Amino acid sequence: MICAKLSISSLDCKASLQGLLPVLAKKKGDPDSDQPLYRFLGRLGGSAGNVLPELLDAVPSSALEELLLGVVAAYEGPLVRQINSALAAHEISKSFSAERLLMERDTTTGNYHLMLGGININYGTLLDNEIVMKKAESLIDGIFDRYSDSTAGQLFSLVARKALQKTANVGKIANWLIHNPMDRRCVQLLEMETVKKPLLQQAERALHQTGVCVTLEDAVFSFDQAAQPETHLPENRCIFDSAWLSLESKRAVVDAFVTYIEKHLKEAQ
Amino acid sequence: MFSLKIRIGQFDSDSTFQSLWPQVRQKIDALESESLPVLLLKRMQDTSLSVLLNILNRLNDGQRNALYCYIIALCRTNIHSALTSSLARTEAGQSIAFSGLRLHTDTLGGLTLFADGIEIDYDQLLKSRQVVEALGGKAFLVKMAMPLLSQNQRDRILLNAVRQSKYQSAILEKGNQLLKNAGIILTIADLDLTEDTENHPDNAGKPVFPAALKNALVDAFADFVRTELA
Repeated sequence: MICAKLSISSLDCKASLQGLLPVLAKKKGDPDSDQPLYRFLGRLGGSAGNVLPELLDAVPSSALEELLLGVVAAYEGPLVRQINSALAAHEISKSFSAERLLMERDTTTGNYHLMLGGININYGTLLDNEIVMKKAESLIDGIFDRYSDSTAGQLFSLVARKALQKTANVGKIANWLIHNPMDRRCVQLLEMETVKKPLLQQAERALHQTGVCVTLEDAVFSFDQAAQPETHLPENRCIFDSAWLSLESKRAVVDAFVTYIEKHLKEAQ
Repeated sequence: MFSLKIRIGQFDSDSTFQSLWPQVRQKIDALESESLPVLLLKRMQDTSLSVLLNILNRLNDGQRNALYCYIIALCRTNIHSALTSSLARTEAGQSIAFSGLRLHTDTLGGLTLFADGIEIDYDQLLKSRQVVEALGGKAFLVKMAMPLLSQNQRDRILLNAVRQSKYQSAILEKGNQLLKNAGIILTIADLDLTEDTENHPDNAGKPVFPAALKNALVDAFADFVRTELA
């Protein structure tokens, strides 16, 4: 498995929350939940779609940022499933499916990034793609060169190169090579600009389809050694009861809600 | 010691909530919780009372009664002080002391208020003009006899007197007024003074918010937002 750190060049927090919140309310809202916020959202039903976007207009941008990170954490499971299904609709990316998602902000640079972890790759599907295949070929060439300093290696290289001339066999050999050093070899493949660029575009499109309005700048792939870190909130925890939101941001959200109530009460009178 | 059981005829819950709200607010403001409901209640200023009344009126009778039992328990120290001050302003009241007040829902869903640990200073009581007038010709006799009686005998005489119908309406009227001064607006249906031999642990310690009410309040709030605002 590999993980991808996707650097974000621009992030529209408000638009992202507007995209995510109604879906979150629908997915997390449970009229019978014992968790007050999820029960409230569940009881609001379809009205959540009217309330939440208006509420966001009154929340200051600093709180919106924290809220988005918290929502992504609270919404990790459904969000990852949606991203995977969006990835599945595109070439190259259809061979990927992630297990974890975390949005973070680098405290020194202030830049955001998305961590997609536990990415499983269907190599068969990946190597069906023409761009990937061409790159795999050059990668294989590079590997064969390593064997050229011994007689056996030269012989192996010669046989392999002959075999590669038959396009039908390239996939099999590339598949074998990639599977042997496993995901580490794949990371090299993905880091190649011609593979990475379309992959980034597809990941960005997948995120947009999910509701997260980001522009992705770069991706760094690495072998995923993390043993399932707990990035998400447990199902019954609410972002209001978590460390994702600072007290200031919680107050800002509450302010916005009270403003919303007061405004609509005035209108009703 | 006595316990006064006050069966409530009509309970003006909205007015009671309004008069006790400043005390409840103080308790909420003192909370250090960062939970959504607490932050919301702290932030709501003038809006809160009308909104809360609207929400509370969406609860069913049982839920509303349970909430008021909790609110009375929450404010019992202040209510106790207010009742004691009101009693001290009358001659007869100066002779009465009590240790606690609690509101209970009975099995039929009605509300009953209990004043526990009532102690009477009979010497002080018999100095009261109202009591002397009420006793009429017997006042002198009672005053003479009182020092000769045991506490138990004195208590029994008081119990019999209170139960006499000719004193009931005056006591009920006074009771309504006293409770109103303490912020509890209701009409007493009847009252019963009994010997108080029990401990009342629910008169002490921090009252516990009824767990079942949490979900009911969330539901009522969502209903309010859905029907009034969204």
